[in-house]
Amino acid sequence: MIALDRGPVRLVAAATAVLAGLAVGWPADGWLAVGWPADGGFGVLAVLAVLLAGGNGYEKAYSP
Amino acid sequence: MVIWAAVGLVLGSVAALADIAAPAVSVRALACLAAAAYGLCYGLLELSGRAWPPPPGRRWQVPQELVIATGDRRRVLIWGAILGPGWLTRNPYAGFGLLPLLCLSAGDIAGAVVLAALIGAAHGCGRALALLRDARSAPSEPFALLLMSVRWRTTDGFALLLVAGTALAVGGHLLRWL
Repeated sequence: MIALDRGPVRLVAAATAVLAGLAVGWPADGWLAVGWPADGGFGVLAVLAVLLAGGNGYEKAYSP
Repeated sequence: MVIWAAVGLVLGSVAALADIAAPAVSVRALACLAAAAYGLCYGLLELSGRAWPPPPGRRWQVPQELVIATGDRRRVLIWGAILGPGWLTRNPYAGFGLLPLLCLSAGDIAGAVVLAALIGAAHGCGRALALLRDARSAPSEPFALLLMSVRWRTTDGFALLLVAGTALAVGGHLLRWL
């Protein structure tokens, strides 16, 4: 199991999270020839927003 | 859900009015870039374990006497109006503050209302599921709760960075940077 509490590992994981976010929201007419047509990127952002809201509601129960 | 839909109505109206007042400026794109900046800053802060600056929000908690030894109707009202929507009470995770920016990035009134309503439903369901889980299991010890909170903070940090990347891609596309 990867130890995420180690600084360098955490930094790499953070960069991977940002790049993964960029990849899932990337437009089809951008630099790359792959991605979402028209407003598809915003659809993904909206789905992530709903998931973030659900997770935030659940994790709030663990606030001391 | 209703309270969040009302928030979406306000945010969508602000976006629509701003688009009329300044057509050259894309409120949607600016909201996406603001969401990306917020997600990057607080995502890195949460992952680094630093407590300052704290996430935006209130410090207030519902007093126990308002929930314990009170009628069912009042309890439902408190859960539906205060704890479920999450606007009035303390939230130590920065993810909550990103949600209004994402509603604003919908760009129009209908989109903002629908997205805000879905966000409200998801947040309320998350709270309800956590409550059901707590009702089934024995209460956690304070240290275990603190440790769990640190783990959730890390998870929240990664989620913020993921959303920041997506918001950057969407905002960059709207501004024709990509």
